[in-house]
Parts: sequence; C-alpha cells; structure tokens
Amino acid sequence: MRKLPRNARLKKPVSDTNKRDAVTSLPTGALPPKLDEALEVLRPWLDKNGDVIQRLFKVKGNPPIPAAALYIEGVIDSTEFNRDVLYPLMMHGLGADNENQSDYLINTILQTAVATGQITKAYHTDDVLHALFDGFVILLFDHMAEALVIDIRGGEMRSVQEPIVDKSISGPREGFVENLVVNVALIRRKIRDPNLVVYRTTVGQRSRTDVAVLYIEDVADPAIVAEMKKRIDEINIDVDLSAGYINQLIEDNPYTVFPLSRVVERTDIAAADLAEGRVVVISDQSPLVLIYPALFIEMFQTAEDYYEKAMVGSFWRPFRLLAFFLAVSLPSLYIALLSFQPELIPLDLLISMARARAMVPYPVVFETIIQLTIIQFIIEAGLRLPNPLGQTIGVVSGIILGQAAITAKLASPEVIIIIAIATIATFCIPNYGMAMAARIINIPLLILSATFGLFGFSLGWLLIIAHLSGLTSAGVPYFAPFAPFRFSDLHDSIIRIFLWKFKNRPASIPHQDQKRQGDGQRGGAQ
Amino acid sequence: MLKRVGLSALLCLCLVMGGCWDANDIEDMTIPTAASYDIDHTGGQSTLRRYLITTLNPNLIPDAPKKYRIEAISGQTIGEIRSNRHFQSPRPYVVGMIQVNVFSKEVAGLGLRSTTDILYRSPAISNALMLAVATGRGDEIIKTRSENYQDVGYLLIDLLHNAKKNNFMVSTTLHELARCIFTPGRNPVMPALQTDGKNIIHAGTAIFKRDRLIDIIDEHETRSLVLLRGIEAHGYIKYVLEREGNVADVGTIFAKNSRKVEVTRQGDQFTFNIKILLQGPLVERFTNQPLLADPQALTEIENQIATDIRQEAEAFIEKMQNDYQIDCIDISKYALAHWRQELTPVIDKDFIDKADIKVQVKVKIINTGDLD
Amino acid sequence: MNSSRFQMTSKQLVFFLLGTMIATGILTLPRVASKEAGPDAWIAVLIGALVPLLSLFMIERLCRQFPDQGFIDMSIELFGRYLGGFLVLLFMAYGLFFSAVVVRVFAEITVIYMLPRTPQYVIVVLLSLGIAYAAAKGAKVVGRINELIFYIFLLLLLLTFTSLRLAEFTYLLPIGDSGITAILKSSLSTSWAFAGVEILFVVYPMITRKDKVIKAGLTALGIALILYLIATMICLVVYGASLMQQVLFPTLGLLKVVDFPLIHRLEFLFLAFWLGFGARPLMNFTMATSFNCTGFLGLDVNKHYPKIVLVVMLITGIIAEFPRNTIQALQWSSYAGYAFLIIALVYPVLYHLAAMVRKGGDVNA
Repeated sequence: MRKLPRNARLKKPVSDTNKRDAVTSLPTGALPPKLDEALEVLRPWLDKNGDVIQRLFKVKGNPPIPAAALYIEGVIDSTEFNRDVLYPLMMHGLGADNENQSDYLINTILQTAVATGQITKAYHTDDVLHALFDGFVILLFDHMAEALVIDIRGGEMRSVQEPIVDKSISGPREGFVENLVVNVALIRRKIRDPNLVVYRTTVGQRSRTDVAVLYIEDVADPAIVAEMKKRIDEINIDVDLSAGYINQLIEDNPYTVFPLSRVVERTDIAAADLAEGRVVVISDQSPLVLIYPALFIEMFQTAEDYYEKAMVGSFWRPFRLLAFFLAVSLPSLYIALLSFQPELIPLDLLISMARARAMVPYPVVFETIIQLTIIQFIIEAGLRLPNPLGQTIGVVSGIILGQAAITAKLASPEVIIIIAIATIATFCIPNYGMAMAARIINIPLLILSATFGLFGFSLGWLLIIAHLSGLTSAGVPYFAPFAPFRFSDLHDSIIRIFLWKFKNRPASIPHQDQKRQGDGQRGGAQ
Repeated sequence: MLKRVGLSALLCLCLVMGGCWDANDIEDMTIPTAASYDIDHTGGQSTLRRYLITTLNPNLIPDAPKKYRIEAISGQTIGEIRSNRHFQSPRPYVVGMIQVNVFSKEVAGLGLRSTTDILYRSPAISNALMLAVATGRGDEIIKTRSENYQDVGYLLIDLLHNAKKNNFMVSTTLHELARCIFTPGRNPVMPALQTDGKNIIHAGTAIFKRDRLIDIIDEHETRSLVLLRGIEAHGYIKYVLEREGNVADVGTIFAKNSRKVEVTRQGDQFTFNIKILLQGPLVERFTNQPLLADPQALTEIENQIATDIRQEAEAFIEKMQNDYQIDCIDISKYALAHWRQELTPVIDKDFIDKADIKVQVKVKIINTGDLD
Repeated sequence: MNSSRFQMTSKQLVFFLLGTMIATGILTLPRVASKEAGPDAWIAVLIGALVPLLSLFMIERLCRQFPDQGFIDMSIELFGRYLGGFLVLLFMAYGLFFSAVVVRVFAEITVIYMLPRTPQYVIVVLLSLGIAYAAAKGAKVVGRINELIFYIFLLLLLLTFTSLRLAEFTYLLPIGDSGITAILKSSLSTSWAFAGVEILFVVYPMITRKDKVIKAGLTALGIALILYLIATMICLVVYGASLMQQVLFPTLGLLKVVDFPLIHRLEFLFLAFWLGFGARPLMNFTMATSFNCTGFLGLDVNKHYPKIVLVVMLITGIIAEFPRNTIQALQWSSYAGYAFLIIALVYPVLYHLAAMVRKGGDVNA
C-alpha cells in the first residue's frame, strides 16, 4: 500500500471550480502583404481545424501571382468555388496589365477576374478570421495588403417545404427554412414594394448570427421600428440559436405566460402582417420568424380564415375562442359547480353525476388533478416517441387506460370526458404558445375554484383579464380590440367580415398609411 | 421590491386559504327531490305542534336495491327538523334541489306562512319550487310506490310542470305563494293531489285565504277557476250540441284561454266585467257531416260552449262570494290599480263579496279541418 | 413606463364612472326605494338621479378652472396648505370608508349566497389582493377592465328580463298614488345608489380630452339611470312593493323565480359574474385614493404607486372588518350614503365659493 505523500492532502483538488480563464483575443492589426507572412499569422487557425481548406494557386498572368484561397468545406458551394473563383483566376487570370502595384491590382482582380456576385475587401486580421469562420471564401494575394472576401455560401440545408405545424388547405404551402437569405427572398417575392426595408444586423458574440428586421417604411410606425431595432441591438449574448432566444430577450414582459409576439413559419402570414404595419424579425438558422407587435386575438387566427369565404372564415373563429375559454375553465367550472353550488346543475344531470362520483374513492379535486397530470404525461410521451410508436401509445393510453381506470373504479367517466375536452380544446388553438399558456393557466384557476367555488372562479378570471389588459406587445396594448375597445377592428376579431370591407388597416397597430383598398372596391362581380 | 411584495401576498393567500370551508363532495350528500309537510300526531299532546317532514331522496349508491330512499323526521320548527335529521343520517342535505313541496291538508289549514318562511329566505332554494296540497296526508304521496317512474319525485315533477299544457289546471310556485301572502288583495291557489298508493292524480285545487286553506274544489270547478283567474292554459273542452231536443253533435275543441278584466265604480259599488276568450282548433266531432253542409253549426258550437262555460263560471263566482268571501280569482288588483291608497285597507275584508262580478265568454274556433 | 399609465380617454371615463356608480347598490335599490314610495319607487329613482347630476355639473365646472393641477394642488391653491390638506385627507378617508363598506357588503352577500361556511374575512382578503393587483396597473388598465366588465354586465341585465314572464303590470298603477312626500323621502335613499360621481375630482386630470368630460359624465349617468330604472321596474312588477320589503336582495332573486328549460337556474351565470359588480367600484376607488395619496405624500407616482395601493387596500380591509354582522354592515352602507351626499354636494359648493372668493380677491388686488 503506497503511502500518500505528506503534503498530498494539502493540495487543492483539480476541479475546484468549473471556471477557466477564457482565451478570446483575436489578433488585430493589418494583414501582412506578403503571402507567406499572412499565412503564418493565420496558421494557428488553419492547423487546428481540419475542415479549413487552404488552396494555394497562382493567378495566371505574366508573372503569375501566388495566391491562397481559404475556406471551410461544407459551408460553401464547392461547385461555384471551383467554377467561378478558381477557374477564372487560374485559367484566364488578369488581362494585360500586371504591374506590382497592389492597390490597383486588387481592384483589377476584383473587377475583372473573379466571376462571383458578392465580393468585398478585408484589411484587418480579425475581420479576415471572422469572415473565414462566417463561411466566406478568403482570397489572399502575394504583395497585396487586402484580402478578398467572397460570399458563395451554400452547402446542405433543408429545402422549402410545407410548414410542419401550421398547415393550410387553401393557401400556399411554403414554410420558412433555416437560411436567412432564402427566407428574406421568400418574403420579397410576396411583397415587391420598393418600400420594404430589410435591415441586417448580427446577434451573438460567438454565434454571429445574421438577423434581419423587415418592415414597410411608409406603413409601419417609425417609433415601433426604432424600438425593435434598439432592442435587438442591445442583445448581448454568446449564442443565438433560434428566433426563440431573440424573442425572449426583446419581449415586453417576461413574467407572463402569454406569448407577446407571433411566431410563424408560414411566409404568407409574415407578408400579410408586414402589410399591416408590423415588424418581422428573421434570424438565421431558425425556421420561425417573429412578428411584433402581436395581439391576443391574432393567436386565434389562421391563414385559412382569410383564404376562404367570409362566412366560412367567421364560422370557425368563435369556436376557437370558445375552445380557449373551455380549455381554461372547464375543469374549474366543473369542480366549482359540483362541490360548491350543486343546486345550479339540473336535477337529472346532478343525480347521474353524483352516482358516478359515488363509485370513486377520492374527492373530485384529487381526481381532476391526477387526471390532468396523467394527460400531460401522455402528451409529452407522444411527443418524445418516434412516429409509429407515438400513435400506438395514444391509442393504448387513451382507450385502454381510460377504460381500465373506470372499471377499476379509479376514475369517473365525467372527469375523463371533461379533462379530455379541455385538452382537445387546447389543440384547437392555432398558436402553440397560446395553447401552452391555456394549459398553464388551467391550474391556478383550478386551485382557486377548488377552494372558493364560483367566487374563486370569477376571481381567477378577473385576475386573468386584469393581467391581459395590462400587457403590451412592443408598446401596443395586447388585448385590443377588446380593451381598449376598438369598434373598427371588430370586423376582424371574432368574425371575419368580407374582404372588400377591409378598407383601413387595423387601428390597434400603429401605422402611417391608413387606407389599404381603393374606394370603389366591392366583392363579387360588379 | 414589488416581486417580494407579490410573493408575500401569495404566501398570505396560502395561509388564508387554509381550508376549503365549503367544499362538499356531492356523493357524500343527500339530494332530496320532493318533500312533504305533515302534522306529527304521534307522541301525544304538546303546546307546540310538531311537523313531520318526509323527503324523497334518490339513492346515490350504485348497487343499492331500491332507487330511492324515504326519510321522515319530525320537529317543532323546520330548523329543528334539519338538526334532528342528523341524529339519524350523517349526510347533509343539498336543500336547493327540492323541486316539489307537498303540504297536507292539515298543515295548509293551519297557515303556510310559518312553514314557508325558511323556504323563502334560503338562498339555495329556487323560488320556482312547485307547491301542492295533498287531500289527505302528505307523506302518503311521497310514499306512493310508482311503478312507471324511477321514483315518485319524478312523477310529481312531471305532473306539476305539465299541468297547464294539456288541461285547465293550476300550478303554483313558491314565488307565487309569497307574492300572494304579502300582497294585499291576492290569494293563492294550489293544485290538490290524491294518491291511492300506486298513482297520484290531480284531484282539484285548494283555495286559500291568505295562507290558510279553506276548501278543496273538484276538477269541474277548477276549470272555471282557471278561466276566471286568467291562468293561461291549454285544454280540451267538450260540447254537446242539441237541436230540437236531440243530440246533434258531440265534439271537443282544444282551446287556449285568456281574460280581460274591466272595473268600473259608482260610488261604493264596484262592478267587475270579466271577459274570457277561448280560442283554438276543433279537434273532434262525432258526426261525419262536414261543416260546409251545415254553416250555422260552427256558430252554434261556439255559442254552446260559451254558454256552458259562462254558467259554470257564474256558479263558481256565486260560491266564491257567498261561501268563501275572498277573491280567489285575482281581480282585486285591477281595482287597486285605480284606487290603491283608498282600497288597500279594505280590500281583504268586505270588498269582493259586495262587488258585482259579470262574466262574458267568447269562443273562437280557428281551424275546423274542413276545406272552405 | 411613464405616467402615461394614468391617462384615460373620455370613452373610458364613461365606463369608469359607470363602474364606480353601479356597485352592490343595484341589489338593494328596489327595496330601499319602495320602502316609502311603494309602487312609485321608480319615480324616486328618477328624482334621486338629480343629485349626481348636480354634483357632476358642479365638479366639472370647478375642475375646468384648474385643468391640469389635480385635486391636491387645487385644494391647496384654494384653501391654503393646512385647510386644503385637511380637505384632501377627508376625501381620502371617505374613499377608504366607501371602499371598506363595499368590500364588506360584497363579502357578506358572497357568504350568504355562495359560501355559507367560509368566514367573511377570507373573502375580504382574497378580494383585496385581487383588487390590489388590478388597481396597481394604473388608470389606463383599470379603464379598460371597466369597459370589458360593463359589456358582460349588460348581458346579465338582459337575463333578468326572463323573469318578466311573471310580471304583473298592475303593480305599477296608479302612478303617483303614493304621494309626493313619500317619493321625495325615497329619493334621498335612492341617490346613494349613484355614489361614485365624486371620483371625478381625482380623475379629472387624467383625462386627455377635457372638453368631452361633461358629455362622458352625462352618458355615464344616463346609462346608470336607465339600468337602475330597469332593475327597479322589473322588481316592482315581479314582486310587488309589499313583497319586496321581505326580500333582502330583490334583484338577485329575479333570476330565481323562473325555471328555465335547460339551465334550470340562471343564477349561476349571475354568481359567476357577480365579482364584476364588487370589483369595479373597488378598483376605481382604490386607484383614485392611491393616486391621491401618492400625490399627497409628494411621492413619485411611478415608483411608489403600487406600494401605496397595497397600503390602501390593507387599510380598507381592516376597516371592512369592523361591522359585526350583516345588519350592521348594511347600516354602515347607509352612513356611506350620507357621506356621499356631503362629499358630492357640499364639497363642490365649498370649492366654488372659495374659487369665487379667490377670484374676487384677485380682481381687487
């Protein structure tokens, strides 16, 4: 047995803390003009990373100019690189003038020799490094102080497909993808107005994610645009992995369950909202875009409502609002009535409910909470499992478990029905964030109703309404057009009136250009 | 800072909600659907009457042999009865679900104000509670073993709810009773029920003076009462048409009634003019002769019915003025509407028996089923 | 967040005033009015509305001379620091007392009708916390909530029309038979139902368009009058003046008298929305009193207002516990009615006199 040295116990263990000192500094300063020296400066990054490709070549000319191309494989479009960067430079090179004056020469190369669309010049080492890791191709030429930065980004990515969550039957089937350029292009194709402004910025110290803020300049309220830009610029985080990160950092009030912005994956919704004067925030690497400001009522609107006829569109909206109300209130109302005010239930219903309850050994509150929990488990499990298994679990749990529970006298049919209806109602809500919010609010309301009956129920709703009335989204009251009551906007809230009556933009969203239709517009044939 | 305050408010809330004081599990309660009030004669004499309340409670235990349970408790006040109940049964009542209350003839004769006071004050009990009087004892009605209904409570509910739909019968709610007791010049009427152990039938109507029962009238007089009192009901009225001493036609109309009352005054003599209008289709005729061939028949039928009704009504009014001496057809309110301050002190004492009440009946047959 | 939290449009003012006026009074008004006046209770309601009308006009004229200064500055300017401060304190005390009475009556009614075994201090605490949360959001939000609840309340009122099936219109006749003295005596009590107009004192500076104030006030008063008239008349025809004296809360009983086909009891809709009745005047008064208090203590509105709301609510809750039982609570509400008359009539008159004196003094000087 080896004896520990005397001072072993006095030494501090290795992992005392998880903190380490970070090594973050990139060399600043200009790039050396000579190719070898430049490559020497960049050597550490070129050697450490196996996917950074260094291609040395000579530009055709008299004499040929040594050059190096640096890029990360997989992030650029290799075909384009070979065909439009290497080929012209190596096969055709420059024209006649081949003097060694670096300024003039780099311009010549830039203007005549490289056949790509986007090229800029970079001077400083850290700019070059940032550009390299952003996915651009760096061209270094001997005896030239500037490097050329070429944007031919490509590589594998998801193609434009039907949106996964927000499907529609009669609308376009385009959903956003993970590439910012493609997303912005999708919107540009829908709104070809020269006044549509795309403001580009980056978010995230390490992820350096491109973020675009879109708005139509003569429609959107300048104050809101300025506010959104300011908020995005003030974000100071390491990585921005999706629009969700940005959403949480720029929203008005993080202490609420309700979604304060609209998160869409459909291009037509984004375009329509732009036309109403809203601001769209698109983040690279995220197929979901954010729309500010958003209203409570919009969480219950789908694109489908606008493509179908007015009567059809108006029919479904009250259903969704009713679904929200039921999802939040039904279990609470059931407990409040049954336990506190049984006189208010019709006699026959009450007797049959009471007989059903007499079978179950525990009180109705416990049963409701247990079943709510079990339904949440089932939903979560359905999400985790791969598709074929997920559906089986749904059938198994739903039918067999429910039936077995009733037979074993551990659950009563009414409570199962009520919880099931409430849960199905949450799925009717088009906006995912709102559906989650509905499920969450269910629980405090349940507790209030279980202790104080109908009084607790209405107190809970009073608090919810007070809360909703005080919320703002980008400074705009969230609960409009209900509070403050905007009569002119009601035509598009609970019902959806004929499209030719949408003469003005919604009053609830601040905007500049009031009219959005000509005066003589009428529906149907004239 | 505000968050801390909010959290402490939440904590305070949790402390306050230290108990659900009112939460009741429905399966642990007894739900009476019908109740009856009697005088308890067992137990000898005492200075204060003892009431006996019998309630019908559907059985909530799923595998019980009988679908309902009858509880009978006695006490000197309704409140005492409720507390005495708990000596026998631990489960509290859901009082608000009672749909029908039956009073025995005895209790009604002693005055209903005392027994209905708690009903009217209780916030849980609906004022649309149906009331009835039993021709004998109330608990016999409750104990009727009905074969066709789940329990007799449902039978009673249906019987009383549908009273006015197909026959000229009375139905009274608690609200109506309270209104009549407290408003000068009105007197309630209640349906009277009779049982033979297996079935319950409508035996007529109970006439009240203020809150005390004074008489029970039979079905024929009930019809006059309903028509005179203006209770809007639908019912079948039969007619027998005689011509030259022979029966020419027998048939029925299904009429809806309405009334209009006018009151005029000459000094101290008040004259009421009650106009009863009956209209409805002709639903049955024994002769096969179409009316086309006999154009006066329609008018004759109408006149015959009108005469029959008028004679019955006048007979009833005479009985009312001479025997009862109260207004059970609810016409004093029209007099009060004109001369309220003056008449309110006297309206219950000498008014109606001195007034002159005239009746006019008009019958309109709307559809005859004949082409014309 | 800036002090734009405390701005209201004139349309919101309509609902704000309505919300403050229509409190638990609507439940007892028919009975109180018909005690002396009998079937002519509705005439008493009409006459009773003259008091708030007068008060409204006086307050608006007064505040027009001091458009942006607010209640406190105006008092201090007219009466000097000490007397002015005392008047403001008195007003605040009135606000607290009124809120306490409303909380207590509301809690009593809730206990009687909905939660018989729950001790009423629990209801008072719950309600206070909920109201504090809503009132702490500022006048703008309070105005919005008022508006929303009003529309729900309209629906409820429509429900009472179902009881008209049992209506006896003869109960209203003959009109005017009770005599003018009886009607006038009743009007005194019915004017209490309109308590809440004086809140205009505090709220006036919050309104953005001052020229629309009088129109908003008249609209609110008109709607309140119509609603009270409807409630009174329906109660009169369904109950009759004599029976109403026996029923503590006749308006509530209206929903119990008829058996509806599917939902046999309509009350549950009423009870579910019942909270709106109690919540609105409480919210409004708390907001006004806290706003007043914040100004009085010279504190910054944005930072300290929510805390003051809590303190105000706490004091209100404590005062609400003083009456020992329901009858005493209803007695206190009649005291609150007298206090309303003083504040609504005497205060504006006093202020007008002071303004005239001051103006006269200025002219001379």
